[in-house]
Amino acid sequence: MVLIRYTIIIIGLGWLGLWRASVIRKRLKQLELFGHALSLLDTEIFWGMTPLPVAFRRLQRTGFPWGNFFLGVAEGLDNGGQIGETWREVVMAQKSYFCLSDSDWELVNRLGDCVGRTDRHEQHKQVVLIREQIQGTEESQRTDAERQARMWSYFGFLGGIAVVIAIL
Amino acid sequence: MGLKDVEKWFGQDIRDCLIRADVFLAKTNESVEEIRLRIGCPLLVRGMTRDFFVAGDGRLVEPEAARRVVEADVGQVMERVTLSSMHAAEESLRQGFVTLPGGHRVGVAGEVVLDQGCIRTQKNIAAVNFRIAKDPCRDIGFLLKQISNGRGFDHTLIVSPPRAGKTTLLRLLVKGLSNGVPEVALPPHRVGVVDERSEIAGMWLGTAAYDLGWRTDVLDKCPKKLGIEMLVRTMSPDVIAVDELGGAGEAEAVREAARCGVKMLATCHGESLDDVAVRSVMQPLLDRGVFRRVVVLSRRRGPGTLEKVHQLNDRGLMVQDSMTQRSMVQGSIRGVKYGID
Repeated sequence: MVLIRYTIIIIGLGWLGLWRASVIRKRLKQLELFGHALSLLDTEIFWGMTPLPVAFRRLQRTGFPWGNFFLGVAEGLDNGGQIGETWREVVMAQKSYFCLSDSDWELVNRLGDCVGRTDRHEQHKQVVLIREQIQGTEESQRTDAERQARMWSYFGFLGGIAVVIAIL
Repeated sequence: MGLKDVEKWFGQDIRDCLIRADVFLAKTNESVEEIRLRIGCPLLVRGMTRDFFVAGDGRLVEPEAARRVVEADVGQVMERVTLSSMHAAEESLRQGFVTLPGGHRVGVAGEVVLDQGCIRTQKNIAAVNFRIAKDPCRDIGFLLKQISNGRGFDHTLIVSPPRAGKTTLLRLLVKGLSNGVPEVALPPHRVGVVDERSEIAGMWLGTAAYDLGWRTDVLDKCPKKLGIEMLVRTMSPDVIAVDELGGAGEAEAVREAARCGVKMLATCHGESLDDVAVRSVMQPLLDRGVFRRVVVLSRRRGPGTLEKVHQLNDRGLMVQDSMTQRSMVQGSIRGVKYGID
C-alpha cells in the first residue's frame, strides 16, 4: 500500500513536470504559428485588400488553436461586432486553449487594436512591427525554452523521488 | 426590399429608431428610398415624394424634435459597412460609396485626402446616405422590341436624371439580352458588363446580388475604358453594358468596341437627348451614329417613367421618335405597374 502511495507521488509530480515542459514547448510553437498567421494576414490585407472576416477565415489553415481563434473573430464580425471589442471577447473566451504569457497576450491584443482601422500601408507597418516583436521573443526564448522544458521533465520525477525520500 | 434589409448596418440605437419608424412609415404609403445620417443633424428618411424626420421613439416628427445623429452613429455605420476593414474599402471610399449585399449603396462624405491632386481616400466621415435597392424583376420585352432593329439588338443609350431608374433598366435589359426574350423574337446574347461601381450586378465578395442572366460576364470594380477593351479581347461578347458614361477615354473605348462588331448598351445622365448631344464626351458617339437608340427616362410618374425612345441613323439624325410615357416601376407611389398605363 505504501509502495503504491510513493509510486503515485512520483508519477504525479513527474506528470506535473512533463505538463510544465509541454507548456513551455507549446508556447514557442504557438508564437511561431502566430508569426506565420501574421505573414498570411499581412498578405491578405496589403496585397489582397481582403475584408477582415474573409481574411480571418482563410487563416483557419494555421490550425488549432489559432485557426479557431481567427474563426471566432470572423464570426463575431459577421454578427455585426466591431473589431476591437470582438477581438478582446475572443481572447477572453479562448485564452485557456493557449500557453502564452501575459506579455505575449499584450502583443496579440495590440494587433486587435490596430488591424482594420487604417489604410493598408499603415496596417502593413503595424503587422510587420508586431511580427518582428513576436519573432524576437521567439528567438530569445528558443534556447532557454528547450533547456527549461528538459529541466522540468526531469524535475518532476526527481522532485517526486525527493519527496518520497523526505517522507521515508 | 426596404428598411429591414439595411437596418443591421446601423448601430443599435439608430437601428431601434428605424425599426420603430418602419411602423409609422408603412402608414404613409411611401416606400423608403434613402436613409441619411449627418453628424449634428436630424435622422432623415427619404420616401418617394417627401422626407421624414425620425424621433428616438420612431415617430415621424418635425426636424427640431427628431433624433440627432452623433459621431458615434456614423462611426458604427462605417465600421459595419466596411466590415471593420478600412483597407478593403479604400477604393470605395475614394469613389465615395460602399456597395452592400443586395445592391444597396452607402454614399459617404467626409474629409477628402488628396495625393498629388487625386483623391486617395476620405477620413472623418460626417455623412452617410443609404440608398435602398429596388427589386428589378419585371418584364421588358416591349422595350426590347422597340430598341431592336429587326435583326437583333442595336447600340442603345439610356438617358435619365439621377434617381430615375436608369441602372435598374440597364440591369433588366442585360438580363433580357442574356437570356433572350422569345416573345419579341430576341435571341440570347453573350453579354459583358463593366461594373465600375459594383452597382449593376451589386457584387459582394465575388457574389452578384442581382440576376443578370445566364450568359453574362461581370468585370467588377474595373474602370470602364479598360474593362471594355478587356472584354472585347477576352470574352467575345455580343453586347457590352456600362453604366454612367462620362470620361473621354470611355467614349473612345465605346467607339472602338462598336467598330469591333460589339453592340453597346450604356447609360448617362441627362434630361433629354438634346442635353446629352451637347456634352463634348457624348457628342461624337451620337454624331457618328454609334448609338442608334436613345431611351429617355424621367421621374414624372415615379422612377423609371419611360418618356421617349429615339431612333437615330448612322449620322446621328433622328429617324423616329416614339412617345411612350409608361411607368417601368412596379409598386410605385401611384401603384402603376410596368406596361399598364
